[in-house]
Amino acid sequence: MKSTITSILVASIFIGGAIVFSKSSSNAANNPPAGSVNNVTVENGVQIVEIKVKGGYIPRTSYAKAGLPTTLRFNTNGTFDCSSSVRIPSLNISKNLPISGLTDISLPSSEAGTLQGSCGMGMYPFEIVFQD
Amino acid sequence: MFGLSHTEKKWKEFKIAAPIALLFALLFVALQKMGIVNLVSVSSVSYGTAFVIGIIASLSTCMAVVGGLVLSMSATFAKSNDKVRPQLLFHIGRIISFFILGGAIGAIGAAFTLNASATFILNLIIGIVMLMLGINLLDVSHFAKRFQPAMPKFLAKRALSVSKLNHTLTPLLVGIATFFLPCGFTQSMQIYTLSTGSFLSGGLTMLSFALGTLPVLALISFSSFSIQDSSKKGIFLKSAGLIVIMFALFNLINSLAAIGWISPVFNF
Repeated sequence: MKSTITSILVASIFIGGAIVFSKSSSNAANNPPAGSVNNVTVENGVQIVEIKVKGGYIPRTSYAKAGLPTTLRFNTNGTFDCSSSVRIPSLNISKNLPISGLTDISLPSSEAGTLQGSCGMGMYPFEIVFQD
Repeated sequence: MFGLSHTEKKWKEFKIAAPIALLFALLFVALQKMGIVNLVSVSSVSYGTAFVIGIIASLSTCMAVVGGLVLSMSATFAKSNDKVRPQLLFHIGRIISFFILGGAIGAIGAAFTLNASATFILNLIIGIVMLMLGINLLDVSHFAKRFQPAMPKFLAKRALSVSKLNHTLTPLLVGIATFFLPCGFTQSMQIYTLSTGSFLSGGLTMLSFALGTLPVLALISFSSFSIQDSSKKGIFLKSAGLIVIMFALFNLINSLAAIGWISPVFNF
């Protein structure tokens, strides 16, 4: 009994620790860009969100306009890790990116709200915030 | 009867095993935080780079899946004093299958990728099997018996049956199956192998990758060699059990995030 409790305790310490670790690093990335990190451009009426892919997604949070046709442009450069497979569960998107190059994924809609994605294994979270 | 001393011995083993497991977990997190995955910066893959990518993969989060499976298996076999042969069969199965399946991908020009729900089911099965093997390694079944439902009975029973693995077929099949296990590096190497266009270069690319993962995996699988006397055996098995349980939970949380049921938790 004691040992079962210990094992559960140790496991939860690990998970808790990992959450704290990853949360603290995400706080820095979550600050609104205020024009500094502008990875969203509009070309011919299509909003393009450019995301660098290597050991995660940069920026972690992108701010885009709601209501515009939107394309996510993933930029890989010698990317072999998990982030080379993009996963957006709410839109049922699973896409393997080439080791290097640009990959466009057109989104079906861009209603106001937050679109959450991760790598294929469910790590390296990123989000696109669609604002009115 | 001897219950108390027995309990005390196990409790003592846990007092050493828990910090070992925790240290291992911290090392794992630190390795990911250091950004080892960014060490490769090539866009063309030679056999040499495939080997290096294999080494990096073996230190990445893929360790939670493949390494966790290897550790749970080797510790379970070590428990029944069969250390060498199942481990050798695992590594032979893994290396040969990477060559043959890699060659097949190169020749056919199509990768064996699973869709999201198939990946989820595979992840779920691996996670649950690892969880059961981990619980079994802790050797707490008699605690469970004495203090009623410390662990649900059906879970305890399953854990026991899962640990009664076939000593020849299981390691060989698990070794072959690692080709399909969810690991970002293995996947992107397979995608690259598509473009090689021939059996030989596809096979050699995946073989180089598998050989790169071998040192760390061999270290994990032969860690059970270190146990000589029974006092150390208890500590080893409990440390292994705790580590396997942590990896299993890590994998389960990630697979729930990948299917979209929870928000992603780990940024590595």
